[in-house]
Amino acid sequence: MIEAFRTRLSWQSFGAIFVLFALNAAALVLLFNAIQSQENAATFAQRAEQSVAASARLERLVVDMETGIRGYLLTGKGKFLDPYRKALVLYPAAAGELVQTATTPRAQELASHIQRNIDSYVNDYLRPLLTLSHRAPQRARGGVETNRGRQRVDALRRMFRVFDTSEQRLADQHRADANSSTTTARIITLAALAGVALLCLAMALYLQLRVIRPVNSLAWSAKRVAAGDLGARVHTVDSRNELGEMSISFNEMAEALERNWLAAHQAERVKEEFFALVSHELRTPLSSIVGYVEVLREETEEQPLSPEERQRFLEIVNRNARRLLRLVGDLLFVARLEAGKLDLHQSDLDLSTAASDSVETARPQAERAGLSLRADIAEGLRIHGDADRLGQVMDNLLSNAVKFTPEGGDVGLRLSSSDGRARIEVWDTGIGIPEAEQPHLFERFFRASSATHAAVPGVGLGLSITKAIVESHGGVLSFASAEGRGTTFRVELPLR
Amino acid sequence: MNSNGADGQLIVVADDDDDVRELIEFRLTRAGYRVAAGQDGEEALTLIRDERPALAVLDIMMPKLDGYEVTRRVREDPEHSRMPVLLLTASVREGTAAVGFEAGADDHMRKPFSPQELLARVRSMLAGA
Repeated sequence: MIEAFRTRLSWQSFGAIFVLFALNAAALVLLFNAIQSQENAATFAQRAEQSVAASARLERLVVDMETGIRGYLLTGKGKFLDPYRKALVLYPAAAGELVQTATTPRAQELASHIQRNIDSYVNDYLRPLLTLSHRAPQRARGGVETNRGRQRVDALRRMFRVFDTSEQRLADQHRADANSSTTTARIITLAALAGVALLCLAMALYLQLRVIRPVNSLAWSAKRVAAGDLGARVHTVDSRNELGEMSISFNEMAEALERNWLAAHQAERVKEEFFALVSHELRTPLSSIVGYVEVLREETEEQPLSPEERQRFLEIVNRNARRLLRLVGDLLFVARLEAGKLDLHQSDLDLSTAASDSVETARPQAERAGLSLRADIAEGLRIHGDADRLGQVMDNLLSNAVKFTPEGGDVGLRLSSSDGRARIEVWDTGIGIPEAEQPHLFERFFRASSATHAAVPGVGLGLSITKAIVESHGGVLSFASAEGRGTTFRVELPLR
Repeated sequence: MNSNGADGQLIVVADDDDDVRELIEFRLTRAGYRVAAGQDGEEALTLIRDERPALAVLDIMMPKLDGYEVTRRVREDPEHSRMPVLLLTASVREGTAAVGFEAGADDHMRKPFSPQELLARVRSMLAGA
């Protein structure tokens, strides 16, 4: 999984988004906590302050009672009792309030303690004193002056102080907490902002580097391919992630496009070459025909032609006309093959005779090329087939043998039979066919490289036509060849 | 045998087709020129260098060296840089003539050609040279 993280963009982007989310969530949680604790602290502080206020109120009531009694006892005036009576009514509630608003259990204890003491002060001291003042005012007056009363009040005062101090301290503490929480919240906010900003910057940079740039590069390469530059390829930065895979796929696609284009172009070129060759092969005999006819027609009295010349020229015209006819025939044959129509004029024919004829036809060509031409023909082999076409097969094979054998070499034709099949072998000691070209030999416009270099006449139709003829007779055409040593073509035909 | 203007100048003719070569040779000798004939590009080049003809008629599609190449090599030799060259072609492809002129040929004829016209062009080129 670590591997996936390091390489895959989908994982990385999810990871980045997750981190962003986590960062935000954490910040918000912390912020929420800070605000909450600030609120809590504020609330607590407020309560403590209320407690202090309640304490102050209660204390005043106690003071009111004390000064009220004293004033009355000292002056005897009734109006001094008013604050006492009022406070007397109010103080229980105030004491209860103090206990309630006390913020901590200890404060509550303290408050209860104060309450009890006040009760005791009132019930055990103040009230009896007042009662006494009705019976013996003098004695009561004296009682007020005593320390006992004073001590009780001081003790109460001390208790109030303790209570107040403790509650005030708590209030202050919580106020401080609230402030610090506020500061914390501020810090968290700023830190989160900074963190998110950095993370976003990092993500943006990463995106730019690892995604935008490769995508742009790919788009540009695609445009170049569209404009015709099929060699354009994309340089993969990291082949392991999704964009890397896309780059690889793109390169494969461009490679395939280039290959197809080249192949198509190659086919185009082969066709162009074929047309050029056909054109040449047609126009050459035509040149002789047109030229010699012109010479024959333009014979004048001043420049007559000798009978030998006339005869010779007519023969040349004739020969070239036949050559032209043969070529046109071949081309039409191929065209018909393409269209799927192959008509053979089947008859009963003497293969041995046809073979001998072919040999003799090839003899002048062989002699001119300085080759020895041998024939080994079994007698009386008859088959059912197209005499012209089969003759064409043997002519073609012999002609090729002669064409591709250098001076001083040998060429031969062997006709034999075995298990109901006739076998024609045309062999030579010529230059042979290179292994690389052997698979293509029967392809329609294929010409061996040696033929093209030597400008051997022919458009490369011969062998494909030969093969078609043999196969349409139910036969098989095969060959064996060694470069530099020679070639043997073999035709097997079913005997009648 | 002679004809108007010809005075036995030597012309090299090269074509791999025997009949066409013989045709040109016949026409030119009849008109009073001498002819040295070759079967391929190499023979043509040798003949031009050895015999120093007044003009060369070359087929383009020949074995060993084609007509263009022979023309180029002939032009490289300062001795023959002015010798008129006429190219014959059986191709109908566009730009054949242009390639020929770029190689240094003076004229260009398509096959099949009229021997009479060929003769006329040869005469004109020799007259101008």
